Order: sequence, then C-alpha cells, then structure tokens
Amino acid sequence: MSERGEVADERPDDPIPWQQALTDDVFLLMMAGLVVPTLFYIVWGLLELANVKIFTP
Amino acid sequence: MSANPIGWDWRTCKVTGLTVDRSAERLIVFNAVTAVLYLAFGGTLALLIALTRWPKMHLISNAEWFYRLVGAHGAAMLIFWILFFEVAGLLFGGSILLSRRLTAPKMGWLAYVMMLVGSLGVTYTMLSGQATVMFTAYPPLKASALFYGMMLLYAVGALVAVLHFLVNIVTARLQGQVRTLPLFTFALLVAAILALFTLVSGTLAILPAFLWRLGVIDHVDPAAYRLLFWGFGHGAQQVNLAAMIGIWYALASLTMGAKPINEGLSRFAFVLYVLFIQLGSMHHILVDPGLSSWARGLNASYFMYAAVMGSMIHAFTIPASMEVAARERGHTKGLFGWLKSAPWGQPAFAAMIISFVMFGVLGGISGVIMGGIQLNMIAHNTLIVPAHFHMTVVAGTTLAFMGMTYILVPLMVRRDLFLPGWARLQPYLYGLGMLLFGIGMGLAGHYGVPRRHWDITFPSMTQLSGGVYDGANIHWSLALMALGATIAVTAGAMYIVVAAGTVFIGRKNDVPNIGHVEASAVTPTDPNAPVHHPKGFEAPGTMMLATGFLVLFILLYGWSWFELSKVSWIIK
Amino acid sequence: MTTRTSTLLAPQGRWWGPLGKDERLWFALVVAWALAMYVMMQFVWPAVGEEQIVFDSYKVDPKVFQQLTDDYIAAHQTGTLLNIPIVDAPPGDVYLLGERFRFRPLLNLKQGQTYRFLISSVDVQHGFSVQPDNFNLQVVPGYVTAVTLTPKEAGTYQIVCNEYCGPGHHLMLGRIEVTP
Repeated sequence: MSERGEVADERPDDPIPWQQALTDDVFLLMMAGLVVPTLFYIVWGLLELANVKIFTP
Repeated sequence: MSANPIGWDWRTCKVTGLTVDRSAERLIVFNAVTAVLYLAFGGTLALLIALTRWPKMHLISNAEWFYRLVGAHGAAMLIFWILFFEVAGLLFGGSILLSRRLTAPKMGWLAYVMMLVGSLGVTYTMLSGQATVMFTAYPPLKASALFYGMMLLYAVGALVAVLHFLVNIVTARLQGQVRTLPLFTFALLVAAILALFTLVSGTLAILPAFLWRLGVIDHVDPAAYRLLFWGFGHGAQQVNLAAMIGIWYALASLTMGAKPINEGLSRFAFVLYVLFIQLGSMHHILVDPGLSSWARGLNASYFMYAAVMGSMIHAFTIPASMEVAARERGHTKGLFGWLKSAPWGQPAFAAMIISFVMFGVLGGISGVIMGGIQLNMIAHNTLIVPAHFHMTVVAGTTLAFMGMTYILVPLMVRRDLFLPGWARLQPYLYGLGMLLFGIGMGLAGHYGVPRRHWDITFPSMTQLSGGVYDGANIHWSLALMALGATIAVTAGAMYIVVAAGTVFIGRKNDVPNIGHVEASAVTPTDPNAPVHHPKGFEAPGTMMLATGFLVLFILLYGWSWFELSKVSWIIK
Repeated sequence: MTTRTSTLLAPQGRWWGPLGKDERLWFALVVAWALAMYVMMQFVWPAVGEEQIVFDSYKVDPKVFQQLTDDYIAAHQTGTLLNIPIVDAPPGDVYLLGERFRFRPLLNLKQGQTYRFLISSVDVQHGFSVQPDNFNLQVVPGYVTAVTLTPKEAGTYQIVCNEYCGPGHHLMLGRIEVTP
C-alpha cells in the first residue's frame, strides 16, 4: 500500500498523499470504471466473436 | 452540521442531527415502498417455484405457467426489488447523509416514473405470456417487442437515477461541501459507477433485440447478446455487492461503533472493484462457443481475482473494525469476548452479521470456484448456479438491505418500529431458511439437476431419461430446498409486515425505538485523538476467524477440483 | 498515524496511512491465495487434469449444420427410439444437433475411443449436460462447439437440456451409450 512508513503528525493541513487524492477523484474513478471493462470485456469480446472462423466439415 | 438552510424544505433529525431534505425523503419513501412491494410479489413466486421444483409436491401443474413465473420472479427480485431499493440508498447517501439538498429532485422523479412504468410493463408481458423467455431472454428465443421496449425504459430510468446521484456527489465536491466522501457514500459511488457500465452493456444487448422484434434488423447474434447481456446481468449483481458492503460498514458503525481500521485499505478494496469486478461477468460464457480460452480465462479468473482480493479485504476489515471498537469499550476478554458483547438482539446487527457470514462463506466461495474456467464445466446451468446467487443476492444483499431498513425506515417516517419482537427474530429465521435452501439447492446442482426445469422426472420420456434424477439423494436435497424456501419466505413476509406496519401504522415518534445506536457513528469525534496501537495484533479474534474462513475456502476449492477429476470423460 | 472515522462521516484531513500489523498479514495471505488459484488453473490443472476446456469454435449457418447432421445420420444410422435416430459413431467427427425438444442423433460410442463432437443448434440456445457425470456446455445456434471427448467408462449417459428453450424444455433429452 503506502510506501510512506513514517508516522506523520496529524494536522488537517498535512499534505494529502497522492493515493488519497486519487480515490477522492470522482471523475477519475468514473472514467476507470467505464473504460477498463469496456475495453477488456466488451471490445475484446466482440472482436473475438467477429473473428470466429466459418465451419467447414 | 450545516447552518440552517434557506429556501428548501428541510428538517433536523432528532436522533442523528442530520439536516434532512424533505424532497429527498419523499423520493426515498416512494422508491423503498415500491421495492418492498416487488419483494412481496417476487417472494410469493419464490415459494410457488420452490414447491414445484420439489418433485414430491410439484405444485404448479402447468409447465407454461411455471416458466412464466420463473421469469417474473427473476425480474422482480434480481432487478426491481434490488434496484428500487438501491435508488433509495443512492438518494440517502447523496443528500441526507451529507446534510445537503438534492441538486435536481425532478431528475429523481423522472427516474422513478420511468422505472415504475418499465417494471410494470416487463412484469405484465411476462405474466401474460408475451415474454416467456426467462429474465435472460436469450435470442433467438422471442418475446414481444413491448417486453424489450419496457426493459429499455426501465434501464434508461435506472441510468437517470444513477446520473442523478453522480450529479449530487459532483456538486457536493465542487461546492466544497465535502472533500472525502464518507466510506458508506464512497461505496455507493462505486456501486453507481459499476451501474453505469452495467446499464451501458445492458442497453447494447437489449436495443438490438428490440429492433429485431420490431423488424428493423433481421438477426441478433446470440453469442454477442450473451456477452453484452451478462455485462448487465452479472454487473448488476456487482452493484448489489458494492451497495451491500457499504451497508455492512454502515451497520457496523451504527450498531458497534466500528471505524475502519485502515481507511485507505478499505477504499483500495473498493477501487479494485471499480477496475476489475465487471470483467468477472465473463464467467457466464466460460463454456460457450465463440471466445478464446484466453479472453475467457483472463477476464473471468485472473482479473477477477483482483476483485476477489478486494472482497477478502472487506471480509477482514469489517469484523476487525468491530472488534477494535468493542475492545476499546473494554470487552477485551479472550479472543472472542468482543463478539459475545455484540448486540445480537438488535435486528439491524443480526441481519448484518448473518448477511456477512452467509454471503462470504456460501455465496463468495461458491462464486469464485465456479468462475474458474475448468471448474465451471461441472457447475454451468445446474442448480449450483442459482444456489450461489441466492446466497449472494438473497442471504447477502437482501438481508443486508433489510437490516438497514430496521434503522432507516423508523427514522425516515418518524414512527416506532412495528412489532419489534418480530424484527428481532426475523433475521435469524430468514438466515436459517436460506441456509437450508442453499445447501439443498447446491447439493441438487452438484448431483447435476438443471436449473429452470419444470419436471426432472421426465414421465413421458422414461425410455430415454433412464430415471437420471430419481436418486434419493436428489430428492432429499430438493426437499431441503423446499423446506428452506418455506421458512425464508415466511421470514420475508414477517419483514414486510414489520416494514409496511412501520411506514403506515407505527406509533408516531420523533425519536423512534430503533434500539441502541452508537452515537460515535454519526457524531464527529476529536480529529486529533491518536489511534492507540497495541503491540500485538489489534484484532486477534478476527484474524482467527478470517484464517478459518481461508482454510474452508482452500478445502472447498480443492474438493471442487477432485470432483472435476471424477468426470469419466477426457475432455480436450 | 492517521485517525479513524465512522463510515457515515467524512474523514477529515489526511487519512491515507501505512498498514498495521493485522492488515499486513491478512493482505499477504490474500495475495498468496489469489496467486495459488492462478497457478492451479493456469499451470497445474492443464498439466495433470484430463478435463480441459480448450475446445474450438466455428460459425455456421444453422440450416447447413442441420443438413450435415442429416447426412451424418443417414450414413451411420442403426435404429430409432422415440422417433430419434440412433447412430453407431465411428471414431472421429460426431455431429450432435440440438433442436426443440430433442438432441439428435442418439449416439453409440466405444469406451476408450476418441471422438470430436461437433455440437450446435438449429433453433434456439440449448444446454449440453452429460449426466450422471455432470459436465456442461452451452449450445448456441450459429456457432459450433468442437470438443474432443473420450469416454473412459462404459455405461449409459443422458444428455439433459439445461438451458431453457421453450415450453417443451423439460422433455428435451439425448443419450450416449458407451460399450466396452
């Protein structure tokens, strides 16, 4: 998880770690949640179906 | 909380101190009541179907009606009950929990009306025999064009509801009202994101089928439909998963004062869902022609295991956070003293913990095993499949939703919980019923009994059937399934009496009797209070239980491969 | 170290922090188990198992496949049962057609011989469920599943349709007789 092993003093104005900023980013999550399955599931799946060979006895 | 807001209809909750937008409250009550009505309808069908599948009883004597009712049961439960309830949850998480008003309540009403009309239309076409095609409606099996049209209307309505939630979250962020969402709302956000992909995939599946039945196109590729349909059909269940886990976290906070032991880890586990869990839908087509083993294996298994890791993280952090909270309150005796101190008589807690255990042990493990590409061969389309998803969606999601309403409904309608004694008993009875049901149905599937089948005794075909399903083991399993269904439907009816009674005839009370709720769940504590870390494990009891769970998982996984090796055919 | 917040409240300030001892141990166990399942499925079972799922798929016009099945039956038919033709299948290609509401033809096979099953449907989707062994494949019209099967034991096997295919779904059966 975090590479930052040190214990930070707890104050609201502490710098926010990038991992925290990423999970707080609604748009980024939305984008990832749409793009990843669209590419791996829908696009890859349909491409493979389109390339199935015709049966010959 | 926010200062007295001006220009909108609001009240302050006397129990939680939250500022409640009355327009959100009305929308929530409409969505939740509609959800519960579908639960009542689907539950009635469930009993009829289960008692038909027990060959001794074979209740519904007309095959056509049996198939109609199986389709309507699937649609009412898997889609309508769950989604209407989830929309209620989204409205709650997107406004009331953040003490802010709905950005666009009209969008919420538009979604509700579209979903209501769509769901009624789908139910009507299924019951009237225009759409005896099951919930899956695989082409070239034909339903009337109206059926597909109504499915689309429902899907677009659900999409509007999800977008409405996202609009609320985004405006809350942009207006600076919230930076990091509460974990519960974050779980709902993840559910909403999963729902977006799901509804896109579903529309891509059903729109061509609609055009095909209108005569605009003359062919729908059945393999492509299966791919896209399951992006929706199973994706929708991942929406349930995220919402249910959010509710587990919420109820752990409300009933035990739990705080996630590592905020980042819990959120990371949800991010794994966002990235990977939808790819798991491919396990529906593991034994289909069309896709390469690569596409099937990589999506359904390898990527999916990343999402499974997410679930196993939650399986640890939720009980661990409860254990830490109880230990901090002084319940430090032994490994499990904290567990003994838990509020077992509080219906919301009981529902949460039973949902958690049954989902994980029965639903989760069975799902991961069946999603393995080779192991799927001995599970596909047998009763193991519905056994799995009844453990996840019914024992898991439905029971978690019920638990949430034991707290939220009285607060929302400001009435006392109706028949609290019934409410205390209900989760246990429901869990017992579903346990027997799941074991019976799972064993029958393990013995090869097909799902969606009116009569496995093949009375007119004995020369061919050879009494394939006449074994006593199969009949005992199905009897157990029917018994479990009867108990669970009874407990489901008790829930509906309690919920409807609370909404309509519960005693008016601004501080309703929802049992003990931990004040720390809704009241901010000192942000500078340091976390006390003991030298050893913080949650040793949970570590013990979780390790036991992992051992059981490994044993069942190994046993499944052994069962596959007993198939007396070489399959290449 | 970060603070802990109720799941119903918005965490303030910095909440991303390192894992504690409990979480580190559990996370390691979970990663190890996910890797173990991966290795089992990808390497172990393909090396030791006899039940693999690496069949070939083809597209086909359902009418063409029906004709090929009819030709196959005409060449090898030995009888009928309940109006369904019975075929003594020579090793090699075996045609099996799902149609509402039967599997055609009924097959007689030899134990230990290897057959390449060509399975498809002429109308809607069906399920190819071999009982009592219980292994299952999906049958999709327009597509051929080409799977190599070798029966290890003699006996009678039922093929049950386990995909809902219409009002007579519960009557749909096929059969494989395996003789020594």
